[in-house]
Amino acid sequence: MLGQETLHAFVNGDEGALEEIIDAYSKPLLRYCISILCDAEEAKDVLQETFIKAYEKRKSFQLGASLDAWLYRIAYTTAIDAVRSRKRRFKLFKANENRSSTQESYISEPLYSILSSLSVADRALLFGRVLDERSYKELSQILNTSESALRKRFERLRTRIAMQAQTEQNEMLRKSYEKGECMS
Amino acid sequence: MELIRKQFADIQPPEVDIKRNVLLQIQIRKRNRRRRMRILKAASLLVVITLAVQFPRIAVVAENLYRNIQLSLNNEILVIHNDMKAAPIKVDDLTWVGSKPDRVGMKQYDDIHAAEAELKIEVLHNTMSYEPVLKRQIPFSYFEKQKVGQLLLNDLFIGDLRNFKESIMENGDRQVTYSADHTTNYKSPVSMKVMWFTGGGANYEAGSLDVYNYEEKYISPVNGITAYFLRETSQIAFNEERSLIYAAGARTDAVTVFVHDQLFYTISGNIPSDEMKQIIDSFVITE
Repeated sequence: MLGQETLHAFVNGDEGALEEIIDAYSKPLLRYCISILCDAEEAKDVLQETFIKAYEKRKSFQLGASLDAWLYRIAYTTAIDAVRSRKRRFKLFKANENRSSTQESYISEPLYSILSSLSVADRALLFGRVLDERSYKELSQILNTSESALRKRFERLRTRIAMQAQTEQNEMLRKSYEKGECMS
Repeated sequence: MELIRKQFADIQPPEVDIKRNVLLQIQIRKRNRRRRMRILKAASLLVVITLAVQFPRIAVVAENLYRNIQLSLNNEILVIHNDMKAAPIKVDDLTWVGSKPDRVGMKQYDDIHAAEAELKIEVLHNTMSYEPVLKRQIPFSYFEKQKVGQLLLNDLFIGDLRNFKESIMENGDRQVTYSADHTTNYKSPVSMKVMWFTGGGANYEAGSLDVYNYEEKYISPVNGITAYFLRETSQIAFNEERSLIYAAGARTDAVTVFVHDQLFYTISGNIPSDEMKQIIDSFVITE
């Protein structure tokens, strides 16, 4: 937890304070970015851009407010921009969005399977609710969506993930059953 | 959800050292922003300079917005000039007569030079003019509705009139006396009116000329002035009554109009065309 003195210095443009913030937030923010982008390299770029934007917009940060939510909000919007840019890029070069080997080492296969079926906004919601255990109020600030809408979205998300898990479980059971039959 | 939470928690992001890059990027962007600002300022300055250069042109265009001079005569409608430029004026201490919008601003200038200086005009000099006229008070009128300024040079040409004398009465009125007989070319002093437009507006239609006929167009071989001669339509017989009419200044036989340097000149008096041509030829145009 950074002290008010650091935050005050940051708002006043102190680069040392920015370095402290980078030290404190690099790891959790990078995990967040990897989770919502499903691309580690892109996540690193977004992380860097997040801190640059934070410094440039430091005057808009209100002392006493949550730096955490403020940084996550910047990271989220930067990630959204990156995804839009990526879509344009892929559209331009007609490339596909297959998972690279780099991404495999950071996100497990089952999680990737779930995340890849979700939008960036839903990934961010899932990450915020499940890992960071953020309140809907906090998430509404980060994702710029009303609390009630987030509640509904998260309920739908749970149902969908549960159904997806059930389907995958059934598929596994079917496969093992088929294997057993062959063995017998 | 617990499984998902665990998998999120298991994400081990790589160690990144982005501090140096972040600080470097911030410095680069600051520099770029300053450069953009400089470019923007330079571009703004360029726009200002361009606009400043354009302003005189706009003003010139605005000045060109005018205005025809149209004379409704007895025998025809004569268009004297169809692209008179407007010359705005700034005059202090006008005495207003009448009410808006038809009011007239009036002022007496000490002499022609004072008038020219304030009104920013140059009235043509004429070698035949009666010089004392130019040194006495010159009445200026400004017709607000029509946006017309006017200087009146009364009795500017006295020609062959004899015993010409002017005096100022106790009440300030000016009195002119002279003698003439039937052999005199100048039956009365000849006056000159100088008029100009101070702003755009409807075409100017000179009134009170419907008793005149268009007589001839005269292009001076001396100074190139193109003048239009008008002549009173009714004729008066040579008799004593005629002399009295002229002496009373109740009649003006000849009117000549021309435009030079955006000033509209009207010369009026009781002289034959030949004398009028001499007057026109005697205007001095300096380049």
